[in-house]
Amino acid sequence: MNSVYLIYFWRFLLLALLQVLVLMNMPLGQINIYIYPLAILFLPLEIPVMLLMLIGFCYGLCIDLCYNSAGLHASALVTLALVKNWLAFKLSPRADFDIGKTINKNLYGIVWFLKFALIMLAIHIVWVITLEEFGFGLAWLLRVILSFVLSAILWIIYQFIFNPK
Amino acid sequence: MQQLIAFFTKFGAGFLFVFLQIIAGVLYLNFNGSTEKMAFLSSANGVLANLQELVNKTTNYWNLGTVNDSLAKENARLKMQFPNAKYQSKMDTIFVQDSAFKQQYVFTAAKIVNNNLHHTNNYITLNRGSQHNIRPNSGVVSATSNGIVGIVKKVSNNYSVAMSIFHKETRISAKIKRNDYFGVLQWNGIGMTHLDLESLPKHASIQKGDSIVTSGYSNIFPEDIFVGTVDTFFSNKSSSFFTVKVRLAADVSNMQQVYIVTDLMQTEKKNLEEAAKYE
Repeated sequence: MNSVYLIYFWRFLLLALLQVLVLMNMPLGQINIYIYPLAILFLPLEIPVMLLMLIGFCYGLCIDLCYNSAGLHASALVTLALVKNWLAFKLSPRADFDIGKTINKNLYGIVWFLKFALIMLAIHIVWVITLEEFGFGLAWLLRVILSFVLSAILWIIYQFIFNPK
Repeated sequence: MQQLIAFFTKFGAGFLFVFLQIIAGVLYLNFNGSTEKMAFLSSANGVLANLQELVNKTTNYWNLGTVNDSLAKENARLKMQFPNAKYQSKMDTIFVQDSAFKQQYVFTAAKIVNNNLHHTNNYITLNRGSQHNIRPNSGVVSATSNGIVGIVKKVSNNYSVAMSIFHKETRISAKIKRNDYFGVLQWNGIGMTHLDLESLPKHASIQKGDSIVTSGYSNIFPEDIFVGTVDTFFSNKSSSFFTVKVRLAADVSNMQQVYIVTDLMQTEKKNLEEAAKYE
């Protein structure tokens, strides 16, 4: 059990570092690539939603510290945490999950995972960019679409690297 | 009490969600935009500042292309500030106003911007053009020392190109200052120190060291512009003319400032001479 939590911790750290050391400094202008929400996505499904929201809030604040955007990513991750379990159950073919199972492409297959992950990504990106832009417009639409496409590619690549089976 | 717990287990997530979103919203609205407030929760803090520095060090390469471009642009902008990048549009024309004489020659100060000496037909580019009233067949003389440099052949708006005296086709009428015997100066294609004065009649008296000046016959150069001094002279037995080696006074190879001499009456004289030919 301990080693499992250690894996989650390292994943949080790795994704956060990847986000703020590499992706944050990509010369893409207003387009953002987000990898760190994957850490929330990959947490086990038996974690209660309230705890998940608190974890998401703290994790988001850490990201915000580097982005100089206090509250922005925290808010988005709290939303993701709220939606995550509900969406997973909604999409899953069964009514319950096995204890200790985490969401990845091998759980119900790649199609199921993509459906789940891309909906989560879309929620995250729309949330963050709407808060940043504080309105809708052509710039908002372009940012959402481009950020979504680039992030989605990265998420899929990440899946195939760390869950190769 | 049990009802309260039940209420919270049912709606607790919703409450927590709203609660956390309010905190996040307050943070977001308070710590973004105003710089003095940002200090509390931002990368200006110690550990994060160090992290950011590390980030910058390790991820600078993302921007190298952009940085390079902007530096090159900046460099070009600064280079343009140098005086040598600027086109001197200020005119340094010297007019001699004299009520007794009508102005015939106009001297325009010019700078040599290109000077080629490696061909048999060499040209010099000058930074004065038609907007400064430079016309083809104007003479170019040295500004800093005595000597002739070339003859303007082509003129654009800002520039003019002159045939150098080191051009095989250049012909300049010149004479011996002491006795006014005249000949034609031309370059034999060898060396940059001498020109040949051809067609000088054999009965003319020449001495080594005689001054050679322009004759003014061609209306390219005014009369009596110093060209150089007689170095050696010889003639073939069959020829009735001397060839005089003239040591040039001016060194064209390191010259920068020149005057372009424009003859205001050149066309008039030329037309008259042409007309006389076909009379």
